[in-house]
Amino acid sequence: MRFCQLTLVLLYAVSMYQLAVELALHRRPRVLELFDTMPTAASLKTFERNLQTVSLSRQTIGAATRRALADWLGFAGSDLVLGVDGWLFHGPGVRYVTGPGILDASRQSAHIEDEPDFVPDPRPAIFRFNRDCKQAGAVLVLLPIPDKSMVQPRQLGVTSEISARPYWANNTGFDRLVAELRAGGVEVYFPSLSPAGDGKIYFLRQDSHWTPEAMDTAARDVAAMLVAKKFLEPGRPGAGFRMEPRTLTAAGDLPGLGSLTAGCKLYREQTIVVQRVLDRVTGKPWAPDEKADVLLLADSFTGVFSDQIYWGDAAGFAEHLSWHLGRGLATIVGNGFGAWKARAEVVKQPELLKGKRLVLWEFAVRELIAESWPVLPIPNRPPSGSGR
Amino acid sequence: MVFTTHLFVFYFLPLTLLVYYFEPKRLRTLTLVLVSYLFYAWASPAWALLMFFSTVVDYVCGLVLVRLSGLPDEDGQLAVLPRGEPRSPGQTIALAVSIASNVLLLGFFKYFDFAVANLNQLLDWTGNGSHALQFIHVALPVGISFYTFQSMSYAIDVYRGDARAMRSLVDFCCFETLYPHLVAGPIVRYSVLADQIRERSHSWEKFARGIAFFSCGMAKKILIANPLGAVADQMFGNSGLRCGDSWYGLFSYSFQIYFDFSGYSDMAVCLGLMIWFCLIKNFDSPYCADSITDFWRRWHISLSTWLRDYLYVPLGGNRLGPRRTYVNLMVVMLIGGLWHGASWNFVIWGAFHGFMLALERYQGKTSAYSRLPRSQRVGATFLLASLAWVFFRAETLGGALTYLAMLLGFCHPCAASPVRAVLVYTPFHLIVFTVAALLVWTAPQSWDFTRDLSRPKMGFLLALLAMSVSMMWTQSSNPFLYFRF
Repeated sequence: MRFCQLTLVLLYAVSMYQLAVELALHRRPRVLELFDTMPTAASLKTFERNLQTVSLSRQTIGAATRRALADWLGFAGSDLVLGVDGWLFHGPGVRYVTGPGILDASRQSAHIEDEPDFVPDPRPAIFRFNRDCKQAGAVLVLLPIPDKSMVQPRQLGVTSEISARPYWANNTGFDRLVAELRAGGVEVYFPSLSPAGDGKIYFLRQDSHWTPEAMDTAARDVAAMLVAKKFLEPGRPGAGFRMEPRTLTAAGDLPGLGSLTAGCKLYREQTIVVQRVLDRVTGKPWAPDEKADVLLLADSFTGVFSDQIYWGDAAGFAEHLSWHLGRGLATIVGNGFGAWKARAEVVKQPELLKGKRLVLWEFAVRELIAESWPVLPIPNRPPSGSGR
Repeated sequence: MVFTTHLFVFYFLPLTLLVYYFEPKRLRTLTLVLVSYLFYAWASPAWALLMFFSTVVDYVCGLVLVRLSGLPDEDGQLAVLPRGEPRSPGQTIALAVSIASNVLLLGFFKYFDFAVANLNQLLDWTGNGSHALQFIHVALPVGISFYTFQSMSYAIDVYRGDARAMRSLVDFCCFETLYPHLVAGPIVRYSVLADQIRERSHSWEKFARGIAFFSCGMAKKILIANPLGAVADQMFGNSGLRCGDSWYGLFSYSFQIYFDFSGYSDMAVCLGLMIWFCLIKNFDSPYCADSITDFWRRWHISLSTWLRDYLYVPLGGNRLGPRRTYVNLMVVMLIGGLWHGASWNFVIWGAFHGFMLALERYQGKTSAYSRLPRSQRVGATFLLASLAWVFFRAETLGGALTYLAMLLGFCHPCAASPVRAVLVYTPFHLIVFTVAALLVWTAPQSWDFTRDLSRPKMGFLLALLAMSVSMMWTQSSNPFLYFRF
């Protein structure tokens, strides 16, 4: 009897506690959201997800469990992978490397039941976007950014294989995808941060993004490539701007994924120096130029040093690319934009392509697997001839 | 809805119990029907309509079967048809309608695209590729394989005179839709539930045992099946695995599917007990089997007995000579394989088991390795069952063959192999793998473990439940494997 009572207390306590707190805070109980809309499969799924997300019991006990697992058993859930010496890796990024090939048949059918709208094959969307950009007078250049696990395998815990041979683990389908894209007329440039597990540090210890130095190297490489391929004329690097170092200390975006907070054994802060790009005369931070003929579509790899979340401002990929190109850039940048949202912005506002002759599309390479790739045709294209 | 979710454990289940225990007795069956439909409709409301249609067809067929016999009611209940007597053409038609409606429903939703794909392939081979048929890409309603089989058992049992037809539609809906076992079994025959639907009673012993089953089932799914599933997911679908990794992935999947499905079955039994129903045992330590014949006495018992009673025996069973027995075993296992999914992989999986059963039957119901010590026979059976799982788990036939090649060390490891190792050889995964192996070969199965609940055992089960819930809150949505069948 006592056994039954204790179990029932456990079963009822979670929802009752939640309800009591919500009522005490004069909030509408979240469980009532069930009745807000006509139920559909999607709305019920959303309701269920929300109910779990806001659960106070889940937030506290779930987080404590996650921390305990990470500290004691080296496992931090699906979003976070624990490396060595406090290095953390983004789970989806690592799974991009180890998962099935981007174009594998198994991937094409994997989402049918759970996410019927998920489009796993990126090719049609990229080809269509490339064609639309071309018709608007702009050349599209893809800039997939390698995942941390591809560049810092030692820190992930990989040992023997790296020293024995050049190491550049990538998704098994990447080369085929790039070959097909290039054969279809799409420009792809893959910044090569690490030659062969050379032991250098290119990524932040507890952040999924690159170091300021690696980012600057990539910006310089991209600028050189654009000039070498004659997409742009050589400019004067840094014209009108100056760089100003700023020292910052933070952990990054990854500890939160494993509920690792300050005080945890695995939580480590890191101090870095970013180079802010400032106007030489006014001292104001670099700002995008909507009228520039180069448009940069980008995700958090561009925003990480300019969005003021963890790592300061005015020192991101857009700023440094602009510096190395010696010209202004128009940008559509957002954290969590992946490869989809920035493109969707262009589709929503086709006038953003007006006067552009080059569209640089930077995204984390993991998005080739993690994200859905619906074809998004650009509706009313700006008159051609406004660009190149 | 999935049993191991926040919504089910902390909202659906407590609310259902609250209403069920405090309402008048006469409303309880109706309540169960309503909550079962809510439970089922959660995945897709439209599917509930489909299930209701199927239920009504079978209910009407059952009534017609009895009415056409002209037998009077017995104590206010419909008469049981006399066994062994010939049935009228009308009754045979009623049975055929019930079976056909279920088979067509299952065939359309589960096998239509598969048939189209194969026909198109055939057209292609014969140079008629331009006449290719269109796929319909219809989503498979959750649990349809289970509830259609269950429905068929009703009409067949009534027709044979093995069970009494139901007069009340609500009672019949309760049989068809009872949420604890609706989505992934066990496949409970009508004769098991019929009396319980009419009369059932509560006891705290039953409830306590239900909780014990719940703790065991939840722990199996959350603490073992899900982590090992992550390992198996890393391995299957990828080429270029190291030989050792592929074996680790295969055994992880063997453990995953057992703990996942038997966990679900335990939870189904628990939820049944909480609402005063006794369901049936679906697993009996299957990896302790010492032959494939023994394995099928222990694995998914409700399906294997269903296939035996409604397919193997009507086909003639072992009554028509040895050769026909082997054919019957093959046919039954092929259909059993196809029941799991519309793919050649499942057909091959079924064919493998059918062949092994026929072979063992040929040898007098013993395995080819029957002279080995028991521990080695168990190991060999586990190995054979695991190798068959390759076809069950791989997405494509090519994927299965590649995986077998990797098991034999015929593939060159890809550069990502050491990265993959970091993901799957964490202390956590290795501990779970070891615990799974220990439980499989040394622990009692849930029915025995929950029989006598001592105080320390109850404390252990409560701790297990708390641990499972805590762990559940760290995991993303992870439905049971058998939901897709």
